[in-house]
Amino acid sequence: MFTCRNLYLIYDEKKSDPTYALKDINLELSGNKLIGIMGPSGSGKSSLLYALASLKDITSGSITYNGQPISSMGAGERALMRKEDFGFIFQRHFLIEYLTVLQNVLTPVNSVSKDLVNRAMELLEKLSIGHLANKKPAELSVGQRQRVAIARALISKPKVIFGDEITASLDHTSAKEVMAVLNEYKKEHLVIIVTHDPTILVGAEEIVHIWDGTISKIEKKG
Amino acid sequence: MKPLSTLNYFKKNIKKILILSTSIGFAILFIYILSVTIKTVDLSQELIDSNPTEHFSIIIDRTPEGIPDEIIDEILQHPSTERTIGIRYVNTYYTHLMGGTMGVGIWFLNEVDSLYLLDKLQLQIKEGRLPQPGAKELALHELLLQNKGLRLGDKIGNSIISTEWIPGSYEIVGVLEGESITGFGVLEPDVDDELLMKNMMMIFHKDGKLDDSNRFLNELIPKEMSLITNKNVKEMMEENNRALYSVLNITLIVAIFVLSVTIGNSTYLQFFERKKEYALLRALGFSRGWIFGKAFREIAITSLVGLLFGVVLTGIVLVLFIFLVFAKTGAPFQLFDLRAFINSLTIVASALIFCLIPVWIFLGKINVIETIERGE
Repeated sequence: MFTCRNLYLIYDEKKSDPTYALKDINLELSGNKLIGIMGPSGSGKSSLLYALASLKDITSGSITYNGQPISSMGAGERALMRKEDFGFIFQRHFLIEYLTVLQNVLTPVNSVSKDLVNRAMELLEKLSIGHLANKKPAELSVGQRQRVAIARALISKPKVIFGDEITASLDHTSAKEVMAVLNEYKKEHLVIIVTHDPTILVGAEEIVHIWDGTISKIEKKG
Repeated sequence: MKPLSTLNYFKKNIKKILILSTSIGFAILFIYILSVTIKTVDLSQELIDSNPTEHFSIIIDRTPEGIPDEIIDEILQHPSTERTIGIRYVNTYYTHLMGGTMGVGIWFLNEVDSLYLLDKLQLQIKEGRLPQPGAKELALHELLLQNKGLRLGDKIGNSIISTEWIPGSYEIVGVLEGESITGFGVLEPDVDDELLMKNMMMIFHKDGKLDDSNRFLNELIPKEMSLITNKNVKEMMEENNRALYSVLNITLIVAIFVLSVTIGNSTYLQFFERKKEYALLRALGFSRGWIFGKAFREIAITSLVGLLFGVVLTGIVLVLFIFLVFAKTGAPFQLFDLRAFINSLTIVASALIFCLIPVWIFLGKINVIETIERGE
């Protein structure tokens, strides 16, 4: 699905002291599985995630998605790819404040068809927040907001889910519940999660360790 | 209702929309009233100076010899001339909305000619009667009376109010209505019209011969004599008003510009506050064009609501203006003025432009990840 070749991501490239966020990354990510990207803060794990998701432009090298180089795609093509194939769970799980929980979940599909509303409600039930469907984000706790963001990422049944520190704002029990949903989702799709917490990657098939912008180790389980 | 539909946005943000629409509405009101006020000054001049001279020209020669007979003969024989009348006249003043004064001619002519003058100027007696020959009586236009705060039966002249331009004292016995602001009195029956004509004559042209008559008189009348034709009046009006209208028009342009920028920026600020929402939509795969289309619909409908509010508000305020300002000052008014309406629409169009251009640039420059993850 994703292939990275000699991937570099450099900030302040033209300055005398450029920052290498990613250095010579070579990686293949594919299949229906949960892949964890681990590393300490500032190691470049989020940069790799967003480069894969076409939200960050790389400096050199290549990333291909299903054989097509992302850098050769126009902005519209990338947007379409994100809309149709990708789902996102951001660290800050931004929700649109004037919309209800249910409407926030339906935002990526921008539809209120019966099937989608039912699916949204199912997801909210699975994440134990079905009773909050008509609440506004301001009425929710941080953990509840994060669950809404997860439901939003799953609504369009994307081929790939990108998650950045998705359990950072959840307690241990909630984190386990959320991961259970993603572990079920990975049976038919690819889930890529960035985290520094190894306990949430118990069900991961692969863990990519990043250190100072380079891959230090790739762990493959079973 | 789709979560990202324009209608849903309005439903959920009604307070914000109303605040913005109200601002647009008040801006429209301000610009419309300012434009109509400027138009009113223009209209007053037209009714006082331009309209009457569309029907007649005047030659004045105050020398003892008066207008030479050959000039009078030539005028009488010219194919554009319908009729000539010997007259006397006095001036009075009309105060326009901007506070300046304009001279209004009050004509004195014999009884038969006065009926002819009324007919030509399409004036009617609305109240009272025609002045009696030789009596110290006048019939004055209703707007002139309103402007001076006078009524039928009142007296006018510098013996009554020292600042009045009309010498002596005259009783107002008739109120005129029609398209020309003027007034008249009737001379004694025994006044010799030919003698009268030597010093001051009114020349009526035949229908459709205004230009011919103006051209002929401008060529014929020597510079030592005063000649008032429609062409001269219009040129004079244009010259005298150039400075006033320049100031008024600059004021109007500045007001339109300032209001457009202010409203445009306020609208843009509402969008800027939604920076994270747009960043999120970009991340989720909504294109720049799609988001801009959504913003455009939201701004356009807000402006449209503002325009409708402005039109209704302007209508109400104009009616109040008519009763409280225009009617009291005798200012001619026009409820609908195309130029004022276009000026008001400029506010809406400019506000759209001053908001949409920054929104488009902003959507292009937005750093999705920085905005979502760091809230920047």
